[in-house]
Amino acid sequence: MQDTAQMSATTCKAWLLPTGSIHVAIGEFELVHIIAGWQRYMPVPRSPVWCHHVFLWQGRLLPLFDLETYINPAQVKVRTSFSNTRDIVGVIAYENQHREIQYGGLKLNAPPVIRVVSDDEICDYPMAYSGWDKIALSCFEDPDLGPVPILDIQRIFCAGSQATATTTDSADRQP
Amino acid sequence: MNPETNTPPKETVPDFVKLALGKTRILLPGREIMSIEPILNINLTHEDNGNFNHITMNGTKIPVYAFDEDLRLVSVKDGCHQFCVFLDDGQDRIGILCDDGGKVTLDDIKLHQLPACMLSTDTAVQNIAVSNNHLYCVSNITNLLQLIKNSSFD
Repeated sequence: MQDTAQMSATTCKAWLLPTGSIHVAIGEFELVHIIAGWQRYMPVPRSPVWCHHVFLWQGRLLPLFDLETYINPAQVKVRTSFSNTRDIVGVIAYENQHREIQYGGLKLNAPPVIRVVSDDEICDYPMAYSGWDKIALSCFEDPDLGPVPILDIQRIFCAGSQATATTTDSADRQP
Repeated sequence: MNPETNTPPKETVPDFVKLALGKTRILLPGREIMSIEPILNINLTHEDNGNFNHITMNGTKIPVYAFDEDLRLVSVKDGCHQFCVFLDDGQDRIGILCDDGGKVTLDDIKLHQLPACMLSTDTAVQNIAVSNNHLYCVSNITNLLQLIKNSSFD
């Protein structure tokens, strides 16, 4: 009964994703697969520093999005070689503008955990990055982690979200 | 000669030419390849008013460019490249210096669009080819010329 009471209209389950210096969250059903272990990622020349590699997943070609690099692009040197990383990758499902289900990879540095999020935990975005309103839907306060932005997956993986699309040459133009 | 049909074997048309630029491998359509020449066989002339080189072929100047492995235009330095791949799409002719270049015929190849979040105005890669679980960046002379037009030399 207690579990049922907790799952009221003001709560939902979310995955907490450690992406480097910050945790972000996505909805319970947006995370469809966790790749942990050996995986080969191919660099794509002149693609954005935060989304510079592609990989194969179940016969599909997926981009690998590095949120830590997106937030701090100037601190990163692009790896132009194939990488066989031990990073954990979360495969995330989202709807594109045509309401088709698409998938993308999000680079993680630890396994995700799931928790219940309540509406009364809403808070302001972390101060360290000023662009959360462009890539997140909302934010909640976790007692251990502090503010946790809830990612807007569609805006991250769809072209329109990055109108100032920058490449390895122009990280300083990142929004 | 095929002994069963008594007909000469068909010439194999390569699907792609694979360029090696450092650790980067780029596929170019075989139909756009004019020739692949060892660098020792060509006589590069430096343009005084630019950072590129050219060769003269049948009285026509063909510009020759060099890229690093992130497809940034770089100045040509002696001894840095082994081959020059000459491309011709019927309108333009260019040469691309590379570390290695060769014709490849890939089995069961599938071309994917570059994911939307990776597109930018200054990438020459529009497709990713998948063949036998191997991934390749795919470009062509049109996209390379656009990249050259938008590029500055490092």
